[in-house]
Amino acid sequence: MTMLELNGSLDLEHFTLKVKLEIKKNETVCLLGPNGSGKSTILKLIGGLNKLTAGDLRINTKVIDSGKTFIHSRFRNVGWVPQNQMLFDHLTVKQNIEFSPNSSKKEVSKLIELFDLQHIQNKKAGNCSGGESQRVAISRAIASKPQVLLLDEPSTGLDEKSKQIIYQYLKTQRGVATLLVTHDPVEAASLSQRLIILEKGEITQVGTPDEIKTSPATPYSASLVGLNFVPALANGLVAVTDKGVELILSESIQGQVNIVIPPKSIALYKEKPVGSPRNVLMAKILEIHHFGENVRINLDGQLNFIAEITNNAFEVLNLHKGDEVWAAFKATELITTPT
Amino acid sequence: MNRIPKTIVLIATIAILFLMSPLIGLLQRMPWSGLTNLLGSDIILDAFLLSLFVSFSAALVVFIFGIPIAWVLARSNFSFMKLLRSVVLLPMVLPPVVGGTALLFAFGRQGFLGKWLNDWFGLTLPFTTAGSVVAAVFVSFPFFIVAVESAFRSINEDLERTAETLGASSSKIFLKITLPRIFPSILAGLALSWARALGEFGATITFAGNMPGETQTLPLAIFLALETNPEAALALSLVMIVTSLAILVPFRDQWLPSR
Repeated sequence: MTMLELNGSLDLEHFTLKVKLEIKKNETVCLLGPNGSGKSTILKLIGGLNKLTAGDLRINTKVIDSGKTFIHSRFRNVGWVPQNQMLFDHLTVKQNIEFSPNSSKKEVSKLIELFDLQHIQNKKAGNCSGGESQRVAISRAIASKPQVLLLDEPSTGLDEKSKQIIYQYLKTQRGVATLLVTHDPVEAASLSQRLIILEKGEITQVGTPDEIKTSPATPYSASLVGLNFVPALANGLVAVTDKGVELILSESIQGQVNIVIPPKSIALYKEKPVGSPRNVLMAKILEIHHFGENVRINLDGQLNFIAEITNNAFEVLNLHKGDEVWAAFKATELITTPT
Repeated sequence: MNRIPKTIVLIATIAILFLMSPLIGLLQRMPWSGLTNLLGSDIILDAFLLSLFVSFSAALVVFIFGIPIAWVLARSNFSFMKLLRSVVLLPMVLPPVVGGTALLFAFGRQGFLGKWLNDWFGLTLPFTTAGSVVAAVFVSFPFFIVAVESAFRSINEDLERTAETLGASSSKIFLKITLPRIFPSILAGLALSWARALGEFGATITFAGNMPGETQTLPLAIFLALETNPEAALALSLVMIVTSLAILVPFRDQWLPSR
């Protein structure tokens, strides 16, 4: 059953936000995108803090925003948890949670227990830590018995305990459609079956975490899942990037393509490897990050990309920030999709 | 606390000495021995009680009407709001005697409103205690409005929007969220406008006159006494200083956020 249906646009200062999304009851959908892509604005649209320029918005099949209708926030049944929580600092934790006229005593005490707030229920909300504040903000929204729950970066800067409590709740809640805005692809993948990628006000990809991992549609999608992404113009077995770099492909293809280079498929050399049937590019080391067994190296040169090599290889090569290296990868490792 | 540069301390000290010198001058000439007699006199007692009545009545009127005005000024963005804001703040910069004259032309017996009040309700404002209150309200309004308007502005509107999404009515939001958050500013604004009303002289003497027991508030009594009985003027000044400090000192922290 579709709980939330949004198909419309809103003119913003720098771009027009165009969205089409549907969320079912009991479903959690994650909205990912770079800063300033319009994620929070979408939540505000649904919450009734912004008005659609065109199109319409339905909650539980009822039109709540269109050219003709505009239902006030108060009557929308939407639980909005804004990024900075917006707690009523002068009230106690409990008074915050029971603020909504739709809340019931029973529900409030249940939420206080679920979100582990018993010991601070009489504390002034203004004195709560970041993690406590977020738990209060979410409980307060849920106590208003929403049909749609809107969460704006709910786990940013939270302690691990608060994160786990919130995740646990979101995974088991029933009866609502949840739209969660996040930066964190791991969080998105663990909480939701469907991710929506928003860039500069436009949805650039919708899919499961797996689909986005195997075929990211934009450089941003690729960077989310740690892949290198290169748009290029293919002509047979050769593709040329915007910067004029030629890449050898394993299959013949024509026209505009997106090429994904998995970081682990890239090998690094100090001297130019000779006689190899591979793509070889020169690059400079920008940054080095250690991740357990592996090292991720940000490279800049003819292409801007990330290589992931083992700690052993890293030590043998004796690499440093600013070094010039040769990066090589096989044509068969490239994932090429036409656009 | 950070170390304050010596130059700054020096400049601040000069300013403080300047601000204190009139006070020192007053205290130095104060007829301490005859003070009890002077303070017991009817004229001083009348002026003192009248000043309290006028200034507190003015503060009450300012409080009741000031909150809605401040709210409208803070939250509307009509283009004529800028003009309206200037008009509302005008009494702050206007010489009080001009204010008093203007009040006379509005509420005087021949004034366009005064005539109407007189004909329909038999109400006369000039040269009555009510007139003193009107003059005090006129000059002290802006002090309250400035304080409360900026408090309204400082509230993050998303806070009220969040309360709306929770299903709360606008009156509940105003009473439970907005008002408690601007309460300190309301107190500060009240203290400021009350102090302005207490010290009011120019508009009052122009519009309400200087009649002992009816419109002769402390500042007017001081002005009159200065000519005839300078010792009484000193004693009256002391009364004003003590009264002002008694009310204002507790509010000092409201104007400057405490550390």
